[in-house]
Amino acid sequence: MNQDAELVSRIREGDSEAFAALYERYKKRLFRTALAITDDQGAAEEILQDCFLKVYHCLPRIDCSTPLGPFLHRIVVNLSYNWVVKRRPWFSSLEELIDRLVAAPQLLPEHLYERKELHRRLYEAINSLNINHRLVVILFYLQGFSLMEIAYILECPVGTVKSRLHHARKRLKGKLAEEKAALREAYDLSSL
Amino acid sequence: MHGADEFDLFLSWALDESVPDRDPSPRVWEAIEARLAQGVSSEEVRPLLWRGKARMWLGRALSSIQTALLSWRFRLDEVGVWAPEQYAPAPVMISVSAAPWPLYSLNSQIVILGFQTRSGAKI
Repeated sequence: MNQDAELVSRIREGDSEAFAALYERYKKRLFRTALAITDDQGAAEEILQDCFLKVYHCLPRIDCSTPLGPFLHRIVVNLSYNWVVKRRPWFSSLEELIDRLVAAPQLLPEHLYERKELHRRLYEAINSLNINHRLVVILFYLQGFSLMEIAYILECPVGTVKSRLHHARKRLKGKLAEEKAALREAYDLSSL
Repeated sequence: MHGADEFDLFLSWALDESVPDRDPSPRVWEAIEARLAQGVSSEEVRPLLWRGKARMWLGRALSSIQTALLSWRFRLDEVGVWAPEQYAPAPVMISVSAAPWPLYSLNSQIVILGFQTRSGAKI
């Protein structure tokens, strides 16, 4: 029996420590995925919380024969997707404006400011993708899921995942051509 | 990453650098424990936003309608059925039913499902 299956089995028997162990095992990765999709710490924490509450309540239906990671990611991605599509654009712009005002560039050392600025550009490029393309990029490039796993998480055919990845990649390549050179310089990346 | 080219490696690296890789706040687990201790799910504790809004809007709308109709000697009973005041029966009793689901699905516009006259004839 794999570790996930053992934990789920113990949780079903009422072992609360096993549920805590399951949370510890996956919290960081799931939180990171939610954070990458929402770009909002509060929302990501709320999504993580809701995810584990849902998991607890659907324990009898969990298939222990497969790894739990993609299953948990399916929940987190769905919750994050809902959060993103409900978020109002004007509110988002206001938040970005506040972020920029609060993060006074003169207070940061120059190289840190450059990095921050480059990260912002990268985020802008990824956020310019539609949400379906963005999800595929995050799951593939950040979390390293296979195309099959992404298809399971997003509940769509593998061909759709391939197509979305292809279009997202093409678009990002165009947008990030300049950033790539700047990042290479800022980070002294000879290998990229 | 099998068959990855330079741009794939760049994207992986850039995303890895950009998205913070840290633990969530301990308050997340505390909140989960608290909710599980209450024995309720997330939906039960915090209704979805649109439901809350629809409920609030419906409450306000019905409150206004009720106020207006009271002046016509009508009242709204507990199950949402309009009925005439007993001491001064109106010439026509109007029965209005508003089902929650159509209300929500039609963008919170009041759906009057039917009128019923005092004599029982349905419109």
